[in-house]
Amino acid sequence: MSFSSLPIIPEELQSELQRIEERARTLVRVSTSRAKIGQTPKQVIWTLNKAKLYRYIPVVPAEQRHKIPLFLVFALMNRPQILDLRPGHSFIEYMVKQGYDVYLLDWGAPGPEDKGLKFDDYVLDYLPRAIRKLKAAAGSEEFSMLGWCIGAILTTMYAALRPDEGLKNLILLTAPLDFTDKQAGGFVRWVNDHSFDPDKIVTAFGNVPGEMIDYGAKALKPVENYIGSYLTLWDHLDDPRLVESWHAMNTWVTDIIPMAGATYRQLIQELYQENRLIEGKMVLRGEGVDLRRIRANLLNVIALADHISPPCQSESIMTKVSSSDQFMLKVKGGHIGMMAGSGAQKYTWPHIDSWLAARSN
Amino acid sequence: MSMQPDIPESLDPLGTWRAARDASQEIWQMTRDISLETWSKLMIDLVNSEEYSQATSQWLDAYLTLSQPFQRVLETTMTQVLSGLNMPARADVTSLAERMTNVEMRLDDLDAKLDVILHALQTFAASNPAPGTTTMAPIPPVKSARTSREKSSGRTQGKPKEVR
Repeated sequence: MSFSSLPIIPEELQSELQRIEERARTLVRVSTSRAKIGQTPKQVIWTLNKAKLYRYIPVVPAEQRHKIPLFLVFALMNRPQILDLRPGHSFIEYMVKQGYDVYLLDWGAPGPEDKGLKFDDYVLDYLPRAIRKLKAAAGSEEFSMLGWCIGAILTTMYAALRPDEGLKNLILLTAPLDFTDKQAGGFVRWVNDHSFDPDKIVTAFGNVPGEMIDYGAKALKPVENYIGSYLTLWDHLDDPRLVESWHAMNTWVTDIIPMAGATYRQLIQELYQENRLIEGKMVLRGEGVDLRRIRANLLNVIALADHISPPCQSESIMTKVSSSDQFMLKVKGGHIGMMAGSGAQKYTWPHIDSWLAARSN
Repeated sequence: MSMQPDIPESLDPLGTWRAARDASQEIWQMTRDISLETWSKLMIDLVNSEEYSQATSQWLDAYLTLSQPFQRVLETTMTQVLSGLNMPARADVTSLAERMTNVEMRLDDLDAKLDVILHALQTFAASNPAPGTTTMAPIPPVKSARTSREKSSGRTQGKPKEVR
C-alpha cells in the first residue's frame, strides 16, 4: 500500500512521504537491475575464440562517409560497452553519426583454457586476423585504430610490429606505456614491492579474477569508489538524467571479467616491473617491438587526473615513434571520465573527431 | 473542487518542520562532504604509501602460500576421482578447447584465402565479361585466360590420377 493513498495524512506530508517512497524505489531499481548498455545497432562480422568483431550500422550515406574505417580496441579486463554506454551518450554512436565506418573488437571473457594467452597471441594472432576481416568488410586497405588503456598497449605493439599493414592513424587513450617512474601511481608502487609475485597469483588462479583487478582499480581511490559514488546517487535520486547515467555506469563497472593469466604475468613483469616496451626490449614471438617503426599519424590522448595510468606513463611515446604527424591532447578528467564523463561529449569526442576527420579521406 | 484557504506561514505547523529539515540537511551534507574529502585524501595517501604496498603484498603472498597446498590436494584428488569415474578432468576439457581455438584459427585463415580467391574471380569476371553480355569486342586476354582455365580444368577433372 502506498503512503499517498492514506487519507488521514496532511497533503504536505503525503507528498514528502511519496517522494521518499519514490527515492527508495529508484534506489532499489538501480542497485538491483542492469541498465541497457551498448545499444548502438551493430552486427558481428568475425569471431575467434571469445573475441568478436562488431561492425556498427552506418547512419550516414556511403558517399558522405569517411573512406578510412575506424577500429576500436578496448582493454582486456572490462567490457568495451563503455564506448557505447547509452543512447545520446555513446562515443560509438557519436562517431557513427560523424560518418565513420566503426568497428569494435570485443575480447570477451577468457575461460580456463585461455590462461596461456599472452600479448604475443593478442597482437600477432587476434589483431591481424580481425584487421584482415575489417579491411575486407570495409573494402579499404587503410584503417585507423584507437586503443584505450591496455588496448592502447596492444595497438602500440601492433603498430610497431606491423607498420606496413595499412595502419594510417593511431589514437592512444590513457596508454600505460612507460613505467620509468616507480613512484607514479598506486599500481606501480604495489606491483614493484618485492613481496608481490605475479607468478604465484597466476599459479593459484589461472586467470586473474576480475574481482581482484576490480579491487585494485577501486582501492586506488577507495572513498570515491566505495562511498562517494553511492552518495552522489543518493543526493540526486530525484534527477532522472543523473540516475540513468549512474545506472549505466554502474552496470558497466560491475560487469567485471578475468584477465588471461599469462597476459597478466607479462603485463606486471615485462611492463610494470621491467619497463621493456618503452626501453625497446619487448619481444613478442621472437620479434622485437621497436617503437621507432611506428609511422602512422599519432594522436595521444592523456587524462590529466588519471590515477590508473598517470600522464607520465603516456607522454614519452611521442619521442619514441617515427610518426611525422603527431599530436598530444591533454584533457581534464580521469581514466574513464575523460571518455565517458559529462564533459567527454563536449570536449574529448569532438577533438578526436576533428583530428581523425582530417586524416580519414 | 475545494479551495484551500491561505495559511500564514507562522501558523503552518509543517513549515517549521520543513525549514528545520532543510537546514539540517544542508548542514549535514556540508559536513559530510568536507569530512569525506578529508577522508578521501587520507586514504589516497595511505594506499599510495610504501607501508600499504608492503602490507597488501605480504598479505596476498601469505594467502597464496597457505592456500596453494590445499588447492593442489583438491586438484589431485578431483583428477583422480574423475579419472576413476572415466570422466574428463579440467585439463582434458581445457586442452580440447585450446585445440578448438587452433582449428578456428585455421578455418579463419582458410576463410580469408577463399575470400581472396572469390574476390580475384569476381574482379576477373568483371573485367572479362562473358560473350553477349557486353557491347565491347572481346579482347585476346579473355580467350587466353579462359583457355588456360579450361586446360586447368581438363587436367584436374578429365584425367584423374588413379589411386591404388
